[in-house]
Amino acid sequence: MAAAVKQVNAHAETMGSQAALFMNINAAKGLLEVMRTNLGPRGTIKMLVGGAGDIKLTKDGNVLLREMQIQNPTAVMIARTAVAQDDITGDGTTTTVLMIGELLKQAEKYLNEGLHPRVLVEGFEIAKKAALAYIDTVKKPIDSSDREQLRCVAYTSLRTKLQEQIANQLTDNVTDAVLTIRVPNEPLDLHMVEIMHMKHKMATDTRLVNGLVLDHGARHPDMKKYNENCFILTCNISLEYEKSEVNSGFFYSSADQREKMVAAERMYTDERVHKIIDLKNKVCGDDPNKSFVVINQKGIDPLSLDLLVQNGIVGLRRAKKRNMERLILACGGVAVNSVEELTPESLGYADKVYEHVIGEDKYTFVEGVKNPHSCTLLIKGPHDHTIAQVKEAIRDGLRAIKNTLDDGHVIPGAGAFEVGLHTHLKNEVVKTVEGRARLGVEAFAEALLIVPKTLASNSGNDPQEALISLQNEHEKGSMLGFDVETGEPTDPTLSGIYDNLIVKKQIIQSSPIVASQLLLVDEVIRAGRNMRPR
Amino acid sequence: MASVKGEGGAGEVVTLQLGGGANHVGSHLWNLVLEEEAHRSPGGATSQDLSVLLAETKTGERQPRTACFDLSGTVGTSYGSGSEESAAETWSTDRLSVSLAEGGHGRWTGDEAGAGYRGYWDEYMNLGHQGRWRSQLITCFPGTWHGVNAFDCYGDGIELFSRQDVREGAFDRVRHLVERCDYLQGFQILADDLSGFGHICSEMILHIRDEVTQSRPLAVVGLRGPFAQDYTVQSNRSETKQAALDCINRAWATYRLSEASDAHIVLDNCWFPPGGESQARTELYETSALAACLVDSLTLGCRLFDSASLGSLRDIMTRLNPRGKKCALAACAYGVVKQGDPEAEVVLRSATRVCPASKLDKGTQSEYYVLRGLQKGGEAGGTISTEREAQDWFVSQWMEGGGGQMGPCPRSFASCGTPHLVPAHYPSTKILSPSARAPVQGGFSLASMVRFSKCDALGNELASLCENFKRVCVKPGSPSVFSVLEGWDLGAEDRLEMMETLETMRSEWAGGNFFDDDDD
Ligand SMILES: Nc1ncnc2c1ncn2[C@@H]1O[C@H](COP(=O)(O)OP(=O)(O)OP(=O)(O)O)[C@@H](O)[C@H]1O
Ligand SMILES: [Mg+2]
Repeated sequence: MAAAVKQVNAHAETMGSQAALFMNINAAKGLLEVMRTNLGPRGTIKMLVGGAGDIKLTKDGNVLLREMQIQNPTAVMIARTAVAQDDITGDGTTTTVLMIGELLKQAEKYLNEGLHPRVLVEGFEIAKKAALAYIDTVKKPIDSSDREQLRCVAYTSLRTKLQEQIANQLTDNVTDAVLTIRVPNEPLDLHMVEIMHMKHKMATDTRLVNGLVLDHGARHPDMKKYNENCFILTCNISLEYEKSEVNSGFFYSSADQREKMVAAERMYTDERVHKIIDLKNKVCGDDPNKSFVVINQKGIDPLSLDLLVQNGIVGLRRAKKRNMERLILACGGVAVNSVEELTPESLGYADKVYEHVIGEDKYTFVEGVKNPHSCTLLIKGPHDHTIAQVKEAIRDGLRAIKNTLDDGHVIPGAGAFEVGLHTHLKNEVVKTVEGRARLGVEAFAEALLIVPKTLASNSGNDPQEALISLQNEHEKGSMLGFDVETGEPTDPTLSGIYDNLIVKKQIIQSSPIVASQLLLVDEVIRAGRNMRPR
Repeated sequence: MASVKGEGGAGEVVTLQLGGGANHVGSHLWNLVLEEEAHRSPGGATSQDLSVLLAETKTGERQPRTACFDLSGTVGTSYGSGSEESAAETWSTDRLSVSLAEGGHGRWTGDEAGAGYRGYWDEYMNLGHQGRWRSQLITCFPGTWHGVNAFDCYGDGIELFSRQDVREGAFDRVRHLVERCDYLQGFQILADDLSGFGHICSEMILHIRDEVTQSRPLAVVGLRGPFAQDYTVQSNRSETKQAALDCINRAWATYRLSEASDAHIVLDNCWFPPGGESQARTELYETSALAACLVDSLTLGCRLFDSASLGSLRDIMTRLNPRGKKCALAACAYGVVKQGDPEAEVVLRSATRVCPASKLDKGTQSEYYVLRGLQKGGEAGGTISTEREAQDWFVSQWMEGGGGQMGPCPRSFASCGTPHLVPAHYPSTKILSPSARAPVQGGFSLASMVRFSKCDALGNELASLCENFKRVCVKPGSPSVFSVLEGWDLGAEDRLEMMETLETMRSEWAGGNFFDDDDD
């Protein structure tokens, strides 16, 4: 075969079937070793150091895989699968890498005894089907109106990424955020939770804002910094005259003609501002206790700002497009695209709108809104890396709750599911399989145990001992998991350790596929020479 | 308040820097601009309004109105959290005068600007006092680009920008810059446009058109050739496959960037240090310094005060592109003379690959000249400082050179009496080394002439691009090329569409000769 390839391409470097197979297995084991210490709440934190001293702290498999500089092609392939796992479900990247690594490790034993990889692959396939059927028998229905259950899911997720104290606090924030934006009978749109960060104070000062935090402030020094009883105009109307277009000398033959055009354009802009001022006067009258805030996606030029401030209006320009949507969900009203649409009904409302300045950065809080369907998680922290860490954890937590609501079910965590599935495959499924393919099913069953074993060893316990006591319980029919605090078997449903159904399903589905592909590779060909100057 | 500026000033231009090459050029550009700013005598007259490029912070510092994007690990320190991190020292005037006095020449030495320069651009970029602007200006994208899959460079950008957090973070940077502008007049985008940053650039343009402004001009400077950074960790592929990838990269960049921007100025084989092409990468520092002078010229016309001003960036783009053609490709030639040299001479004449210098003079459709610090020579003497003088000088040069057959294409001039104040050691070539008679304290200066133009050579380039693309990609003969196209998600229809757009550009270009259809 190698010779044949050489004939086709003289530059190709080839590697024979045995070597190729073991290269793949070794790469997978290597990646497994890197990632295993991250798993679970007691997993350790990795510090990523960039080429010249930049740091990032993370426990998140997804972040690690994306930012580590992986060069081995097999490892890249596994990493991509795991990253895809995160794209689809938001969780389970570490477990996926462990699963693939362990499947290959188990396979290696049999291959050393001369078994053909194809046989194992068949067994994997059978085990996968059985596992997917098994999942449906152990999933627990969840009551989506039960805040406590959703809290547990969020806590399980956050606890695997952050210290207990802060995880605890964020759990409420994350759960309430989801409950705020939830609209009955509509799919949950997590975009309606704005995640904003401030480099300020401590991570524990992170909080949920019932309303919106914008990362900019009013541009006019005389605009009020603190406003109460605010009408909010959310709009996308240009309040600047396009000086650059009109004032250009190029299009006009005479200075006179130009002056006229400039004046006309200015008037046109002013008219729009006046329409807004009219609306303000209409809704606020002369009541000094009412305020009017314009939040515009387009620009507002200094002359327009002057006009607004003279009439007691606060104006923010260049708001984020997505925030226009959020503002309406938070404050009510509609997004206005032209001055013709300006009506009192189009306005939203907030108790207070105020500015907060940290160094060069300004933030505007729109708080105290009536019936919010959008809110903001405001992350605080002393360093960029703390903020990044919290942000990633929050994303995971939100995803976990969303998955739970979408699935309507959860799976008992802490390794209970994996040991349960292992027992099921060993006791029931293997017996139904004829021939050597059962070796594949056994390998699959063994591979699952990597999860409880790793949870045990990461929390400083003996993995074998832990496994034996867990398996004993399972033989007796109680589906227990591993308690990382006590080192004893525990009922995950009692301590509220839940994983997402979709996450487990996805792991069961994708890991054997990649493992099989890697097992069936019988030749690695590096074709071509490097054509680029280095 | 800023309203005063609104009356008299030109309005702001926002700069975006995408990729390593772009950031090397950008770093020099800002050092240049900030140096110019530092030399403004307080209250005194200056010839330029630098608020076009510089924003004012709350503490009254003047800060580049720019966002620099690069990959993590390609800057000296990323996730920059500002002053507490020990950044390499940035360049300062004192340091330069010291090293000049010692006759310093050539590469960095210990005591100089950017001490500790290891090849990272952020080590010499002026990032404010103690590098405090670092986290405000620099964004690092996560990860490496490995190009081990079917995607090549462009594909890496596609992959990176498919991540929502990355996209939104990047767009937020742009929004922050724009939010600070009272009278935004447009954007200049420097990009390594054949790499993944090319895709990011086109996404940026779409975003700007969608959310910021429909009409304000966008000028893109594509940095290739000596500026190109090697992002791929591995690339073991066959010649055909690599050629095909290069072809798609080029076609893609032209298709997406030229079409969407008002000017797409491509710097390809533009200038190589004496060591030749092989040395270009190691001398990126020098090469990008030259390119910075060129980029600086792009906005000069709209920075000049009053009568010298050419209007807005929009005007400049219109002059360059009088027919409003779809294809915005533009070429430039660049000349530098040593300041105060009696035999003032254009010592450097570079041109892009798409527009070799020899072809610049033929079939020109429009030209925009920027002259800085050039001496008139002859009896009149003095520097050229108005558009009128620039034009006269230019014509006289042309006649002397035996030209005489200047065609009647639209031609515009911007000129500024002061030469570039060059804030650091410049290309270590003999001619360009610092003059002993450095006229400005703390620096030396370079006079230059830059020509941005549209000419037939670009049409030829487009034609060959079309032909190549058709041959290699429209009906791919080799299965490996086919798999690449699949990997890019470029189905037969997309390829045809790309082809058609390129053809349209090509034919518009061909029909666009200024003399041909002068009457209709
Ligand atoms: N309190 C707990 N006690 C025991 N096991 C737990 C606990 N919380 C979570 N686990 C288990 O930890 C595993 C998840 O760990 P972790 O979140 O670190 O990895 P992952 O989800 O595979 O990857 P990632 O979250 O990095 O994408 C699951 O098997 C889960 O059941
Ligand atoms: Mg997890």
